[in-house]
Amino acid sequence: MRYKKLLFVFVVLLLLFCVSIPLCVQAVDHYIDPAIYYYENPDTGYVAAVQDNAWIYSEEQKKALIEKMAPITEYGNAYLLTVDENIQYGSDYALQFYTQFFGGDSGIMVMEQLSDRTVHIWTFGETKKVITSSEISIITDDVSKYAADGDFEQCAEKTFSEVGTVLSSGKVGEVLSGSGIGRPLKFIGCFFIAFILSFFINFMIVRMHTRKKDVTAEETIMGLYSKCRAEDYYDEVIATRSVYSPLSGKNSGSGRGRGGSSIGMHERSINRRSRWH
Amino acid sequence: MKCIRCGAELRYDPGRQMLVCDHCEAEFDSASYVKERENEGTAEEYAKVLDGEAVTSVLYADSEGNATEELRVKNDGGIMSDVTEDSMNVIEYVCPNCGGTLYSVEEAANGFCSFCGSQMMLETRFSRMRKPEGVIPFVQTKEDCKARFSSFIKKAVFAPKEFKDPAALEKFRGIYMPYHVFDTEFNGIGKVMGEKQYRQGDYIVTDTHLCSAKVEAYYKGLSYDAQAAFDDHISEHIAPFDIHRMEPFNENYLAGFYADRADVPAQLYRDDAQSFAYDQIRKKIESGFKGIVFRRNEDKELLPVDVTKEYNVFFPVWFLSYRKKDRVAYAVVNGQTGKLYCDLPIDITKFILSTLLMTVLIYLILLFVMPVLQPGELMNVIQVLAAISGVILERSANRLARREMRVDDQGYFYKYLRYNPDALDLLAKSSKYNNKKKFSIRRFMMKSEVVTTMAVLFTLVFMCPSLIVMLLTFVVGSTSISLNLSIALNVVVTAIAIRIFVSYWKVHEKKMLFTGGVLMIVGCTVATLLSLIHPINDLPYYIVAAVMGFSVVFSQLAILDVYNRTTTRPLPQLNRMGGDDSAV
Repeated sequence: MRYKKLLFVFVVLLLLFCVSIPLCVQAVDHYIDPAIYYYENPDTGYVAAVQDNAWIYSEEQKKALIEKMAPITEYGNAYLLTVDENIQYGSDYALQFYTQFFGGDSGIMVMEQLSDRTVHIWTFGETKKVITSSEISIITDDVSKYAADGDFEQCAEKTFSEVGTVLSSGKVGEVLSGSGIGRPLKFIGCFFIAFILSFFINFMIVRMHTRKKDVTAEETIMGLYSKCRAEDYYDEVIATRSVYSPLSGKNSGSGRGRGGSSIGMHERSINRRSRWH
Repeated sequence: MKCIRCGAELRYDPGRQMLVCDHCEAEFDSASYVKERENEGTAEEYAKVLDGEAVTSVLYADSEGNATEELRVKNDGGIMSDVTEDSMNVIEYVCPNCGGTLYSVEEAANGFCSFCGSQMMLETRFSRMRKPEGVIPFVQTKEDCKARFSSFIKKAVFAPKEFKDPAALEKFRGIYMPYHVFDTEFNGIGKVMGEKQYRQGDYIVTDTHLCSAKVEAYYKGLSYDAQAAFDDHISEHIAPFDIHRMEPFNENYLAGFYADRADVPAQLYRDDAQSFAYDQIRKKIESGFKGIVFRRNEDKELLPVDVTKEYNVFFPVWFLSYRKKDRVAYAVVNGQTGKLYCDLPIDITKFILSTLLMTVLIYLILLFVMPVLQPGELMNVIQVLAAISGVILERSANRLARREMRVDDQGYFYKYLRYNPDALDLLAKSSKYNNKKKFSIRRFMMKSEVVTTMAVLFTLVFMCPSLIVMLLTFVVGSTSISLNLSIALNVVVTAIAIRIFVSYWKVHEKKMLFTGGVLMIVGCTVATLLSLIHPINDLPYYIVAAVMGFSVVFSQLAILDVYNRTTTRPLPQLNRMGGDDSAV
């Protein structure tokens, strides 16, 4: 009895400890580089930050971008990073940048890479459930042309605008409205595909039901008077043809001719007798 | 066929396998009833003239004093003689609408035509019909037939409501169809040629073998329908009939049923009978040799199968026709085994409604399961579906063209089409009778109609840019898989659309071509251009995807239309002007 009580207390403490870890994490302040232009939402504590490592934005532009990014802090952090290095940035690299400042908080990171004029987007935490890889593909597809043209400011504005639209219209689990970017034609496309597939399925059902099996030879013979008996099997080789085709090395013959004048071809007759009983 | 007790009409009952009188419920065995009819009493003659032919009706009183009537025909010598033993008196029922003809040994219900489904009185006249050598009596009763059909039609979800109307099943008519029957035989040494290949050092050696065996074989009772109007396709599907149940012919079996007359010659099917026997004997010989690869159809003279006997037999068939506007559908049941064949069109309204319901379900599933597609990817997906739809439409249309021409129906082809150039052209292209002529563009262009040629050229013009771009992208190298896929799909779909235009141009109803085919080509062409231009905006992709989507929907409606035309038939025109009526 005593041990059971001790065990019960231990399990409760363990659970409390496990629950307290994220709370503890959330309570930790993160280091924000003073060179980063940022805004902190007083209600949620989420931060919108611009880290212009590529030095492409002026102060006014950064302010304007922060204003565009501010609505996103209702849902998570918003982080814009510009880089000029000509290296491949994978998601691990991006995670390092993000977690350095925001830890495991929910948020979105946009990186504009000047060297190849590309834009990359990553989502973290709860934001990932709303802005999925599909949404990211759509947004990237929309804004990449601005990056390709060198208009990074427009690219960033459009990106965060679309992210904000998705976050404001979509909540976790509400898949139907999750894509609030404005793609009504996507649903029409789904409808077309669904209609076409339904037609194929129904047509297949019709064809399977009306499929008519051909009569086999065995069924035909069952309805006849029939007899078929064979004996005294005899096999005679009446002609032989040889074609030169070595297993290794070059084949100097003319190949697998069946007639003509290929090297090594000759004919001979052999009488051979075989019997099967 | 009169009942000797009460004089009412007798009918042959398949269930009891006897002649029965519905009036006095008497039953007669077929053989003994014939003997009783031959016991003739006093005779009284009077003349009738029918169709310009002098026919004398002879009344007999049998041993019990009942009256019975026989017809005698005046021959060229002016001497009244009995109808020959090889032929029998029949009443001929002719449909004034389609010319379809049925025969009966007695007065029978004649308020509708089984061939065209017309609800009109059939014209009657007396005639003669050559007796077949044998008959397989009906075993399946009308009730059995109706039960089988009802059971089949219950599972047909999209069948039209007319097929499910129980009252319509009363129109099932028992008809004895004429069949040519062949007995084949081979006794002697049968030989087949084969090859065996093996390696001997640096040589590949091929030995030609002549394999032989002493064979004793016969196949008796190979049957083929002898009526041009009776589609070979149907007769093949209700086959086989069990020839072991064949009885010597007796008119009594026809009581209560109809019969039809053979109108295609037996020699039309002689080769088929020989080929069947040849194939079976050949298989038997080949089974005795291992490791040898046998040639096909090259040495039939080494295994000459004889046709020892040809004769005609009546086979029992229950026949029902459904008519809708200018099309007719048949339901046919083997009167011996009960095997069913049915032309089953689709009720398009039911089909569309069911499709829409299923669409909702699949749509909901797709929303959860399917990832969001890029506009280009969506276009590609719909192109793939368009390609599948195009293939189904092209195959369906090809089947329809063959069905309408009835090139696979030897009897009908022989009787009605052997001088028709369009049919001969289609037959020449048929894989079954392919003479393996080398395809010639010049011959194709000369034979094709002008519009078909224009359609082909028009489509080729749009295909060329696709092919050139595809070649360039493969040579130069492209990272755009979507572009290459799009172009490849465009080429495939366009090629299918060409086939749609070409392969079923001969189909009578041409307007269905354009609903699917043209939109598909236009959609493909624009999709190709879009893939080349690769605009940033999504809207053009969605528009093209919508156009392709509509083309697929239209092609699917065309598929339904073609399917319904394939599973029904045009109203027959069986007027025997110029036909070979005496072919037996």
